Amino acid sequence: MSVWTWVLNYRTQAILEQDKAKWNLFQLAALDALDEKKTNPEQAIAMLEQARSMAEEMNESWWVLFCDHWIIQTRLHSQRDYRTAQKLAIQAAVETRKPEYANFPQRICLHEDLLATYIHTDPQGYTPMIHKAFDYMKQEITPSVECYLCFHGLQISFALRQENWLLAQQHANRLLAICETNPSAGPYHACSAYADLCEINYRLGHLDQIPPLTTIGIEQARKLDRDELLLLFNLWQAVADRHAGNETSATNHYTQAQHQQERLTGMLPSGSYYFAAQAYHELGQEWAAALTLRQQQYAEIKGKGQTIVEYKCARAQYHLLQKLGQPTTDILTEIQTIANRFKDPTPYLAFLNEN
Amino acid sequence: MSDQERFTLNLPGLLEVLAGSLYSTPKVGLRELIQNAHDSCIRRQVEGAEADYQPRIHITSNAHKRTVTITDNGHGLSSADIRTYLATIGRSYTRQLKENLGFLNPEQSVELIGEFGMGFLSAFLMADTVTLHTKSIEPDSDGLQWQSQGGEFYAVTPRDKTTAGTTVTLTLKPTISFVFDEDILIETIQQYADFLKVPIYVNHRPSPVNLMEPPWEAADPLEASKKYIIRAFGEHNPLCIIPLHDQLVDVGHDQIRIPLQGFLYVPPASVASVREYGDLKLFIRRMFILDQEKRLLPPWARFVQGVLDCPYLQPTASREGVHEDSTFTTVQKALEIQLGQALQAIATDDPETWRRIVDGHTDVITGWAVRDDTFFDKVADIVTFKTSRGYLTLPQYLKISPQTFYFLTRHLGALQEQLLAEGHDAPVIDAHWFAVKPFLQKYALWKQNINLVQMDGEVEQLLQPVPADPYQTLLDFYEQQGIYADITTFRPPDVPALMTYPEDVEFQIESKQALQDDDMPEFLADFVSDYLDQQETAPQQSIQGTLHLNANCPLIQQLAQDNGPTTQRNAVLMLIYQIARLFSGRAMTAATATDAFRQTVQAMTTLYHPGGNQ
Repeated sequence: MSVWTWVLNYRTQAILEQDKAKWNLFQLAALDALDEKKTNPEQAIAMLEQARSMAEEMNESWWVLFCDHWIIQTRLHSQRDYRTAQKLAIQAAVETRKPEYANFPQRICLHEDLLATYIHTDPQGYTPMIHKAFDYMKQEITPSVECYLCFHGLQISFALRQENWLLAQQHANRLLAICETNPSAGPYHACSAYADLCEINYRLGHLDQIPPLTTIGIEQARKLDRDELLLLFNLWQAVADRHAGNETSATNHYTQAQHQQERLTGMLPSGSYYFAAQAYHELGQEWAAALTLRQQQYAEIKGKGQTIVEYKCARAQYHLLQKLGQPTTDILTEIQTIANRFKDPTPYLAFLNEN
Repeated sequence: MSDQERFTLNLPGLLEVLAGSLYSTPKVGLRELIQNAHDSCIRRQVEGAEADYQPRIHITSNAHKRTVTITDNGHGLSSADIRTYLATIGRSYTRQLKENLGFLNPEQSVELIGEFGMGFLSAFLMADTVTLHTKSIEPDSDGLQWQSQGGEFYAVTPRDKTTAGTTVTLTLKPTISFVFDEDILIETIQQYADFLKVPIYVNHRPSPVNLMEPPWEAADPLEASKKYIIRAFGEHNPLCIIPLHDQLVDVGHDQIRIPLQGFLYVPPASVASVREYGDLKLFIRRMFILDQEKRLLPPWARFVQGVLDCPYLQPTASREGVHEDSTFTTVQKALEIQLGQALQAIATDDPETWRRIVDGHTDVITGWAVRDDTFFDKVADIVTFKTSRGYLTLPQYLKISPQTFYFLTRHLGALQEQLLAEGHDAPVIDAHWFAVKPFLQKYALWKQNINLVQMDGEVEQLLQPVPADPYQTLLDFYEQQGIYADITTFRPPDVPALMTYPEDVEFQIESKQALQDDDMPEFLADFVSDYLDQQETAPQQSIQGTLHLNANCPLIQQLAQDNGPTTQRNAVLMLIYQIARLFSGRAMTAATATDAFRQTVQAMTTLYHPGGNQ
């Protein structure tokens, strides 16, 4: 049974039993709160917390964890607040060990939430633990559940954070193959994989392979109504166009991406957004614009637990400041502070010694 | 001299831009065609001058043929109209007619909707092929068929048609199949064309599916608004309805009149007390623009919804939004004035309704009052808060505790914190909802000389440290027992001691136990151990908790001075600890509670001698 089958069954039960409390819980947690996720995350979280309290009072333990999962998701993907999310993710994951959750379809999602927080925090420091978690999950997840797709998505993220582009590419291609067999959730995950493949191809210097990916990605993202992905494809198309010397089309796609980002009023831009936008400006040697973007990203994520992303963002700023011939002392101090937060700061501090 | 070159238009490219960037949904194609049909009917009314003319639009769908047709009995198009307006992007006959009518017949001018001459193109968002069959009312006009697949070329051929008007047939793309569901088709028509004056019929339905008349133009606007609220918002019991009317707004040295039509209403309390509204269904000259326009109402009005028709607002090219220009700002001002006045009037003249509004939306009102000073002034004294003595307004609270707000940021569950506040003869305010604490802070600043004491987390504020020396023997005893204790003073003096714990102590205890019992997957155990290792290790943060002895309590003073036999004193000290532990209600499992009772009984047994004195 998928999560949404369970949710819809609960809804049907509420209607058949004329149970107002059940209906209210369903409506608040599964409809109203999730509607607000991208545009008003603070409101979404307040509603989910209220739904959580209702679920606790009603002894609906599955719903408590359902709310936890979406609070974590909102913190991760809209507010980019990994610190708060990690605390809740570990508490929720501990809760899932209880027998009453053995058949809870979102149990694995909560494990995935936990892993996601560590992958974005200190992937190197937690590598053995993350691998162990992947091994466990391989046993737990069957190809028929949506978690199977998320699981492969996590592996792409992990490889990307570890800068293992070829492995990330392998995982992305595998995910695309699996998506073919899952008509309901497949299109979304495939779309995500196409976006990752754009970044991977850029990292590998295969810019000519980006346009076919953006073409299919734009079409899919539109169908799915996923502006957060659509804007990434537009950004990557802008990068590819600029690389090919097609400046008019590049500007057009870049502007579209900015407008699309603007429409996601409550959603802070992702790390992928900033990476692609920086790539776009760097191809045009627009160092100041690239720096402004990275400074904006830094202000948005600083102190929110995404240590590895923070570190990479600070390093990007350092390189851009150098290009502009501006002082780098302050950013080097920041880099040192961030590096010391890793389990093993040595490789991260090495950068400072080199500079 | 430079050559003058002509732009060339790549129509398929333009359609891609329209689909990708201009419009948010292909459904707008239907909207545009309905509005074209409507304008064509109005054009016939204006130009045809036929006394018995009855405008009408008929929409049919045929899933088998994958077609949708929109038929009107309007003016129809001549061959010249087709060339000049239909096939010329950016040129709109309606705009021209509107300009012509502006002076001569302003009432009919405002009924016209089309503006940009781009709407017809949006048909290709839905259709692979668009066929238009038309006949103009102009004398000697013949029937014509226009057809295009959205490429650069179109075909116009003669085709017989007996009556004037136009039929547009869309051969739909595979992704637009939802339109074949009649309910969705009707829903879409009602969304876009509910207030258009021309009746719209769907398939074989005998009556029009659109309302045709906005509620504010009905004979009984209030009743019509109530019905519309049910139809459009699904709300059956609005707490109040505020009709909108024209509003004078100060602009520079002058005042201008902003025409506002529609109404605002306050929905009943939602399932979620934090549910925010604050949005308008927006129309311009009866044309639907968008649902949930959130920028026009003042930000604090998140407990209000409504419908607004304001001809001064400027639609964007997609007509799915409005430009945020100076007129927009003036309309915002007009709405703020009118809503503010209406709420003020309700608060003064109808306190019962005002009370229901505030009670129904306390959380939202509290949240927005924190951000908006004007709104704060309006509601500061009338919002009620949940306290350990029931719901109280802040003036009522201050009558009990004139100088201090005591509050808890967790649910009002912990009796210990409530007791501490009662030690000051005051109730505790439930501030677990994030806006309550800032509201109290703002109120304290506003009234001045009000202190705030958070009973959880900052409970130490109520515990005044005192020199440990006179109580050292007591502290030494606890240290020997492995209990972390300190000496403080707090009220009420009848309470000898209380326990405090780190915020997530229950989770830490449960996790440690699960780790010990090997009761979680190995990978998870690794993460949990790592997490627990990173938690604070200071004694005050220990999961054992901290025992705070109350130096104000006569028993504690007596025990500190007692030089008698230590057995009985130690038993009393152990009792004090266990009572505080049990009373805190924190960090307890069945096993630890049993242990606490066992030690309590043991201490009592030491003190109790059956049948004798001591």
